[in-house]
Amino acid sequence: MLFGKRDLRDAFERQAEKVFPSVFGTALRLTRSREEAEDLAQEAIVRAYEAFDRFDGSNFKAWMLRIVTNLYINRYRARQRGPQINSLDDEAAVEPVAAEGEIPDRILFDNAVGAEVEEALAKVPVDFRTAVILSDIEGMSYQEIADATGVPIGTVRSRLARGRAMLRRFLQDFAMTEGFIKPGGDE
Amino acid sequence: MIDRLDIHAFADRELPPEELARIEKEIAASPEAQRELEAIRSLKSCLSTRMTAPEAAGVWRACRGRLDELDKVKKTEFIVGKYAWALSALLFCVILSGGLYNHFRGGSVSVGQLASDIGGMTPMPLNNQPQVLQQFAAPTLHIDWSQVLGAAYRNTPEGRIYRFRMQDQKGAFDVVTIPNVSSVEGVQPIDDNMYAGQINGHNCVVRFDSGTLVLVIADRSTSDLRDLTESLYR
Repeated sequence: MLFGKRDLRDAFERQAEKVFPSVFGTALRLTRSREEAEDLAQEAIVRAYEAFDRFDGSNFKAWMLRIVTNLYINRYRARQRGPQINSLDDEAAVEPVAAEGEIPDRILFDNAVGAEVEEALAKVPVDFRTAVILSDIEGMSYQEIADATGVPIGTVRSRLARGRAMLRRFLQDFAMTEGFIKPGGDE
Repeated sequence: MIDRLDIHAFADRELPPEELARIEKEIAASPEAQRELEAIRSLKSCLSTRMTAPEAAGVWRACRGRLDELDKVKKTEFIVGKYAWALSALLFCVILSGGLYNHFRGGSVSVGQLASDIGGMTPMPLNNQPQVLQQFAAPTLHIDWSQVLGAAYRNTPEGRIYRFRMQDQKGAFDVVTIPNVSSVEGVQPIDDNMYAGQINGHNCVVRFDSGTLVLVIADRSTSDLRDLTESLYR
């Protein structure tokens, strides 16, 4: 039994170490606080280790990110008692990502460095940010995101579309502030 | 007009096969949809290439530390869980052994127990001295009845305890005899057969006489009490 435990620990560590940068990166982008992200990532690792014997062996990274997201939603967001922006989940509210498409994307994105994208992403409300992080940074499928966040796939789709539109708008604001583009869309 | 969510799903390769061809055709036919698709792809590309993984080696070390602690706790719980019956049995044996030892060792009392034993005794008339002497448990002890001011007794499972209130030229003192006691805890030896201690704040000297404990209690020094006790055996 004890030897079995040792093997389990080794197997868990091998897999967890590989995906840990994603786990910690997601925790950091969700909490926007290094201290809270460290706490969240450690808690997720402990939870995952305790439940490792029940892991189905399919996609370890998706399983870990699901634990991190669930923990964040249950523990950290419970602190936030402010009003929720449920109306934005409405598919009818989806705005085009390229609504102000006169601005060429190469100008918008070529000038943005990682720190600015991080900053713009941090401004996106948490439900939409979670969907964008899990999909576009971590490469999770809609179904995996739905499982991780506990919402239907339709909600995942609309949150993702809204999150992307908001992110592009924030990046565009940044580009204007920095002078990469001028109001009206001229380069 | 094509549903914008379908354009996102197309970009994310999340469309079911049966819808893929139709949506692709609709996008190809709509410049606006193409622009939207291009914007989504650019954004996805930006996020996947510009967002670097944060430095996490230190946090990973901390995680391993947490796992080590968790393993230690689980190991302890495992051992305790597996051998709980043995630990319980061991504890039971220790308690049982202690009880048996005390039971068979017998006759050992504490000073506190002595204080309790000599309280609340029944007064005894002094007009039947021979009967008292007959029952007396300390045959070699010499009681000078002219010094006895009063007497009392108390029956215990070990036998009858006698208490004599006596007086000599230095004042009053008590002599107590308790049968079937071979040792006392909480007293210090002062010679081969006598021990000194305190009962209820009074000095006392203990002596064993053929299985009976003789206790002499008075507000006198230990040396006076020893002399007094020795005088009772002359």
